Amino acid sequence: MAPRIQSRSVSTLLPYLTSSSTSKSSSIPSLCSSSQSSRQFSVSAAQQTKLRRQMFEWLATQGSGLKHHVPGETNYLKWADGTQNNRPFPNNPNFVSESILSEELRNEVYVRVIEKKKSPRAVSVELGIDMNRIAAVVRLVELERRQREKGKSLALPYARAVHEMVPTTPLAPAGERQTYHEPINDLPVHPATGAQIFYPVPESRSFTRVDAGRVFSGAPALEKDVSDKITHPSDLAENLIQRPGAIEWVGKGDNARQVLQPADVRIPHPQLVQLARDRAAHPEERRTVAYRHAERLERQEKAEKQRLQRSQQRRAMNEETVKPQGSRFSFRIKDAVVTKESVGKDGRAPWAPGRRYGVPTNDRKRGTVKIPTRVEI
Amino acid sequence: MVLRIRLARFGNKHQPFYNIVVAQARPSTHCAGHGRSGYYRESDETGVDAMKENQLNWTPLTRLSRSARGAKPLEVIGTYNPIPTARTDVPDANVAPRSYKDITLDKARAKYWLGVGAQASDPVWKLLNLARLVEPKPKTYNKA
Amino acid sequence: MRNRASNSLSKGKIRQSWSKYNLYNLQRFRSPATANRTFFQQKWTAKALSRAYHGEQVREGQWKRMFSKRIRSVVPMDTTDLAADDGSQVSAGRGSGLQKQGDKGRPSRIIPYTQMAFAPLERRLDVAIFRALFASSTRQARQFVIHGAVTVNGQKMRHPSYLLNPGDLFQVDPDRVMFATGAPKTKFERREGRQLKQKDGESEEAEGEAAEAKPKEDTEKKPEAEKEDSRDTLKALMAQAKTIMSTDKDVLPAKRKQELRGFQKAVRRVLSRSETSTVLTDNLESQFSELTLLLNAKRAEKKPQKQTKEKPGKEKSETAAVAEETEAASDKLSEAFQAAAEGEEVDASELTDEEFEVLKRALTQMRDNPIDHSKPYATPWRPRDYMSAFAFIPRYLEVNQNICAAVYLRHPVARPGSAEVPTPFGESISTPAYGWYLKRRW
Repeated sequence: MAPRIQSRSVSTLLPYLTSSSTSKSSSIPSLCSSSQSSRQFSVSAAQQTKLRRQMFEWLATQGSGLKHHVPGETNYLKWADGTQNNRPFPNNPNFVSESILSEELRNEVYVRVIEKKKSPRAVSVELGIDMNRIAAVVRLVELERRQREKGKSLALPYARAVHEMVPTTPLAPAGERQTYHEPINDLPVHPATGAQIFYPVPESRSFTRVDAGRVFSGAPALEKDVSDKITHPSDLAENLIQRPGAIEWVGKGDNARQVLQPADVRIPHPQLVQLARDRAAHPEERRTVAYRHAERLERQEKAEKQRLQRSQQRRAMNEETVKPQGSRFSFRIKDAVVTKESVGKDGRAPWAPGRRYGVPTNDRKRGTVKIPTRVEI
Repeated sequence: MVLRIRLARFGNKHQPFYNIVVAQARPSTHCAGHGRSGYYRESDETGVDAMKENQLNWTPLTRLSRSARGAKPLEVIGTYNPIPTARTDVPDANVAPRSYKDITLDKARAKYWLGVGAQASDPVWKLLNLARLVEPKPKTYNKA
Repeated sequence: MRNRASNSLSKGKIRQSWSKYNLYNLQRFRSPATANRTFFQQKWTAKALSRAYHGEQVREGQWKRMFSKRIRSVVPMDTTDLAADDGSQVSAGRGSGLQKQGDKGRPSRIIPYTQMAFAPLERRLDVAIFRALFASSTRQARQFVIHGAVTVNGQKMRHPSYLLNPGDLFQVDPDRVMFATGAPKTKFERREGRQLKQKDGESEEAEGEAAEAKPKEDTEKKPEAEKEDSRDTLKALMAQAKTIMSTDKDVLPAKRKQELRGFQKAVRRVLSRSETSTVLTDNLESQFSELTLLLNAKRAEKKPQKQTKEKPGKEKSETAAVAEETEAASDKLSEAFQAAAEGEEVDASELTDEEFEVLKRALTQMRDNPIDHSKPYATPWRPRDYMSAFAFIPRYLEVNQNICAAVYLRHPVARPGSAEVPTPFGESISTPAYGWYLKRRW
């Protein structure tokens, strides 16, 4: 079970008093009984009445606890063995109601990323939150601040109630280690690994994750001198972080695919593997290990930033925004290329600039998606 | 024979979308009777000459002699989407964001066509002015 | 879409809804028996049951087109494990790994793939709104979208079947969310709301007439109205304090009760006194902040006050006369508080920290969760009945409840031991259902 917030700690943040809901509970049985008594005069089908009676009976007895929640605790249906846990569906043991970020933790993420200017990658490792979630939290908190400034109405009592009902991950007090919100090194299962492959290997040869990836993607085995250089699969990570385009390709045409990389490279935080290796190799030199890790992290962030800059520059190169005076609009002018290659031999190539001539549009055909498929920010 | 750079409307009802096209403005008198087959190969016409230079000599004769509004033009050099897109990624909340309209344009081709004497229609002239290819048109009248 | 999705008890189908009928159906649901039934029959029932829950608003053909036999899954990796070996141990020996004595490794949990059969539907905007707890059923979420209360990435989106892309931010109008998740109004509240509406209409008419006749009067009228309004809020504050007292009655000892009563009296005095002061003409927000400031100030003053009781209050009142208007007003208030607290019960008149907290909470609640009969839900807002039984937020969404916005982080995935698609059915149903949509492909 995920740790939960005590109701008192929530109270200072979110204004919603639960005392009113508990005080109202006394009126519930009377409501049910009145509906039952009115049923006796009903002329509807007998079976329906019986089912309804059973339902109201259940709601008044076993189900009465579900009507209102206890702040800071989940309140799901009881399982067959009579226990209540954080699985909301009694028939599905595979679905767990997982904890959400508490308000404090959310603000902490925002403070660390925006005010302390830490990278999302570093904050992700510190707080044990997925990098995508970090980005989303920053976006949402930013939006919330903007709305507060504008004085728009917020759903504060609702927020308070939800945080009371759903398990939350609290922010660790200063100086203590933060409990991880979720696993941060999730390896997506690659479709290529779905097939079982029989691949004989001599017993004398060490068959590593790198080799397994090559087998799955149908690439030839590495040359011996190349494979000898790789002492551990995470050696590849450093190079590929700097140059993601360096991944080898196999196959031709439509069948072309990149060689499947080992898990050490594909996880979101490959630098943590190198840190763990360093730690194991030099258990007593903690400071140097930390220093080297910081260096690696810096290199990685620098490379990522550069890549982002380059792509932005490229976009800016063939795009220009003009804001004419006296106009309500700005105009975004993008470059198009009209050459023989770009428009094709007959000028009707589908990738030529502009809408096409002499070709019916498929936008009303059955099976085509007629609503927007994405909304650009 | 006049070449015009103009807009050609596409899109649906209430959803205009324009191609910026280079097309014949008036039917030419001297090549009207040349028949339907074959390609136009005279080199005295500047536009067509340039087309040959660019290896775009797929334009059949019929295209030159007739230039219906929705017909296939000599060339599509860009697009213009007059429906503004609202901006949502404004860093400053106090300044009202300007929504933007999208233009795509092959500036090199536009310059070329203007150089060989193609005349831009008024709406296209405005767009070309935004792309800094032409000076703004002098106003012939003042709005009341 | 025909409206056939009822929560009937005789059918006992489970829907994406927070209705109590649905809760009862969910509670009594048992997996159908498989004995004496053909495989086709099993698949058919499984499909029918799970489709009643997953995307019953989606036509079958539409869903079939969406269905994908590829299921996303992830495996959480441990970096120390990855660092410890390069994978050659797993394939050592005869290919199945060298086994050490006594080392069984971690118990591997299987990935419940077939529980993810309906994962593509979770991408739909209406379903995502329901999953983010912004609506009490998918049908309601769908209505919100169609009625234009939902934006995606800041732009209004009117298609419930819009498939969210990873990183999309959707936002629902907070008022609608409060309506969807809040308790419904009682008969009396509804009547109050009607009366309020009538009154508004009348006053508007009157105002219109006044504006036509005398534009001067109109300007005078407004501050008065504001005054009355703010007075009402203070009165409401008072009432709130009363309720706090009444709820905590059995907990608090008699002395503290007296103290609270003293506070109540203080508020009453303030109300009677400050009629002429400028506080009441200010807007609610500043009033609230002043009150909280006061509470804080009083708390800070508590210790010095114990030694020199009466003097600081008087000094303050003197200095206040010279100071600015608003400050003077706030000081007047504080004076009133002090006078009430000290005058009535001289020896033990100070409130404890805990009570301060309670009062502060009451104040904040009054501001953020006010009684407002013009709203379509019962005020002060409280969650609707049986909401907690359905309250969970899957990990693929990151929700900010304050602004009723959420980000669709990624597509739902399965991982060892759990699947992220919320489904009330176990594998005995989801597996044949998945098989049904595979057609003869498995």
